[in-house]
Amino acid sequence: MAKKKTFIEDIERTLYDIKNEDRPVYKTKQGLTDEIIRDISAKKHDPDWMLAFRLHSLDVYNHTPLPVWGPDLSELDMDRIVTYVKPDAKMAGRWEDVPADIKDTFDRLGIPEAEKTSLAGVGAQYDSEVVYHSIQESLTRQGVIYTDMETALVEHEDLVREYFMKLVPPKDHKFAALHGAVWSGGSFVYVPAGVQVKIPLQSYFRLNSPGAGQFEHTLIIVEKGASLHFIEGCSAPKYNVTNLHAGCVELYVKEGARLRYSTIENWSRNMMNLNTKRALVEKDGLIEWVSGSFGSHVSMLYPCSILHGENARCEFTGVTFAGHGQHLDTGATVVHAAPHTSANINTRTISKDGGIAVYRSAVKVAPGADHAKCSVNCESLMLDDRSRSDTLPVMDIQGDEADIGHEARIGRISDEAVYYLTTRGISEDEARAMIVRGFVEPIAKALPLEYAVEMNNLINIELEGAMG
Amino acid sequence: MLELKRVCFGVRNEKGSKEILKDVDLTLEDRQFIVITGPNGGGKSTLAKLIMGIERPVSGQILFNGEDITDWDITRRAQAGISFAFQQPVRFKGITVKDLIRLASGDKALSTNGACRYLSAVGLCAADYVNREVDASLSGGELKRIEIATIIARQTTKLAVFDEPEAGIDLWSFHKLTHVFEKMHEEQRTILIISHQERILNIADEIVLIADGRIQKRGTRDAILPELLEVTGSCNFFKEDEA
Ligand SMILES: Nc1ncnc2c1ncn2[C@@H]1O[C@H](COP(=O)(O)OP(=O)(O)OP(=O)(O)O)[C@@H](O)[C@H]1O
Ligand SMILES: [Mg+2]
Repeated sequence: MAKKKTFIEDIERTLYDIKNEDRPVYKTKQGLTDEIIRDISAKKHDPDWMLAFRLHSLDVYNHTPLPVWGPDLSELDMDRIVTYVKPDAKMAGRWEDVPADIKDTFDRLGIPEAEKTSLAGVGAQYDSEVVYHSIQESLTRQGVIYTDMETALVEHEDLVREYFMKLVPPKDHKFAALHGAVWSGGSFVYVPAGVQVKIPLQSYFRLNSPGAGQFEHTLIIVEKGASLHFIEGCSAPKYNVTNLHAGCVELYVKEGARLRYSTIENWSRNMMNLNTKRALVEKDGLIEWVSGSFGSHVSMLYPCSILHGENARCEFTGVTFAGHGQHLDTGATVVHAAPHTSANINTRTISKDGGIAVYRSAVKVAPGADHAKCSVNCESLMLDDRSRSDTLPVMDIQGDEADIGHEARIGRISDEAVYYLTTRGISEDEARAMIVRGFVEPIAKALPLEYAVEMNNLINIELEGAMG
Repeated sequence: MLELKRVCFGVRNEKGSKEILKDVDLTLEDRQFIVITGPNGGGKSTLAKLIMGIERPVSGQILFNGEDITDWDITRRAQAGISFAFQQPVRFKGITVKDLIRLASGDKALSTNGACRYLSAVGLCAADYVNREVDASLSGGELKRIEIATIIARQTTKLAVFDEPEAGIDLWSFHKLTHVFEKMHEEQRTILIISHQERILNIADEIVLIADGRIQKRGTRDAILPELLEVTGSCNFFKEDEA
């Protein structure tokens, strides 16, 4: 394809799509059976309780129907998904010790570079296992733990056992149960009371193996009065078989603590992304979400904040962009479970070339959660009349004196707006890109600069429709 | 520099077709200053849009500096030096006044000070506006002045078309705006202004009267002005402003 000049930078769109040879040291058989689960558990040296947990989850999975709403999931055939792929790499603490092709992949994604300049710790997962981990010593000295889940299970078994899948239990929905059965990899972060982690930590998840699933588990505990900014990134090259991502993120924000959790999920067009994220926020705590959904064939993702203690707060900022052949069903959920809790949801969804982008917001105010305050602002933009964008708000208000505001707008780029900008000498594509950038500007403003740039790049890639 | 040859334009809808411009022949010489005037609905904005490429003629030809641009898209015409100030500029969320001026100037690195200069030229207190979004919060007159500022910023302009630049602008400011057009003219540009304002008719080399989709008259101010009143049938139509 000829390179097109864009009003901002030219985009390196091949970046995310480079495939490495699939050469795992071990791979389970396709499908989901008791035997496969036992096999994964043995390979991972699980403690007995974890094996029992996996088997229980499998049982729940087998007895839970698919969701009856949202995108069509009939394409997903679990008998053809490989749930565990152990890469040919041991977890390293130095990039030199990571196999060259895998290191190259993360190099291209800019991870080691970001580690040097703007991160206090990095985890890099490749297929089912974490291949690199680091954390600044000053943080370890303050008692901060940042490691992969497997190590956490050995070194901090009690903590893991206390929190693991307590917020998102396997019976939550079918893919939570699946996650409980086959989870592998992910991040464990523990910030002790009063510790302020000033520089962000980042985990990056790369799925390279065709027809595989990635089921990383993220467990973050920010103790009383502590604070953390945690960033997750994910991507995969495109294959012509279905890949599955069913991660699970559990965030515990204790009294007066603050956690900013940012993810830009950038999957390929063969990916089913069925991800579950939830935060439990105690008194005076704050959870800030930044959530970008790009690239996958299907997504179902609705980060949930349970405002459990008085004055707990939630800020949610989200962008979803669906192009040709994509059905991205995303949103945010807030449960006001205590008095004087407040939430702010601000989202933008974009659809193009027949893509479907749906934004669901659900706000629940529990009985007794009086004086809850919630403001929802969802805007959708369709770039042509084949595409669909929708915002579906649900409200369930049972507490007294709730102050709930909801604003939803759905619009289409008008020809007039495009013509107007082209009279200044730019192409119609550039004009559309400029309008879309204006549309997501309130979101870009909320992102740290390098992520705003990444989001802009992803938007440009989607606008050019070249990831296809 | 610009030549329209037997340009026709019409639209088709459920009720059949409607002719909006009929056999328009119009020639602009280099560095001429022409004002088009005439009653509402006469076809003036449509003519401007045909020149910019926003609408395409049903038949006829448009030449720009000797080249047939009838099939050129808007972008290409803009790059060739045609600039157009909209009668009703579009509002955008998330795009600032500075973004628009930068875009128009073609200079991605245009400084805030640079952008402010253009705003000052249209009498806006630049610091108050340069970082504002061009959204619904701007008043109609502010939006129109910003629109004119973006055209001033287009240094590559050879032909500048303004569609009713006076609309919504208070008389006192408008008086100053006429200097903007005169200055652009002095800078060797060809100017085409659609206007109902006598003050603008007064500074034009020639006036073109369009009514019912046709060019009715063309000539100097003194030749045209008396006849204008007949065509429009209203003595108040071109009342001199008191500023
Ligand atoms: N797309 C369209 N469909 C139907 N009618 C149209 C269309 N565009 C223009 N017209 C009609 O063509 C005629 C000329 O419109 P135009 O906007 O060119 O008038 P104008 O001379 O600029 O008027 P004004 O002084 O009010 O700005 C009007 O009757 C208008 O309603
Ligand atoms: Mg008009």
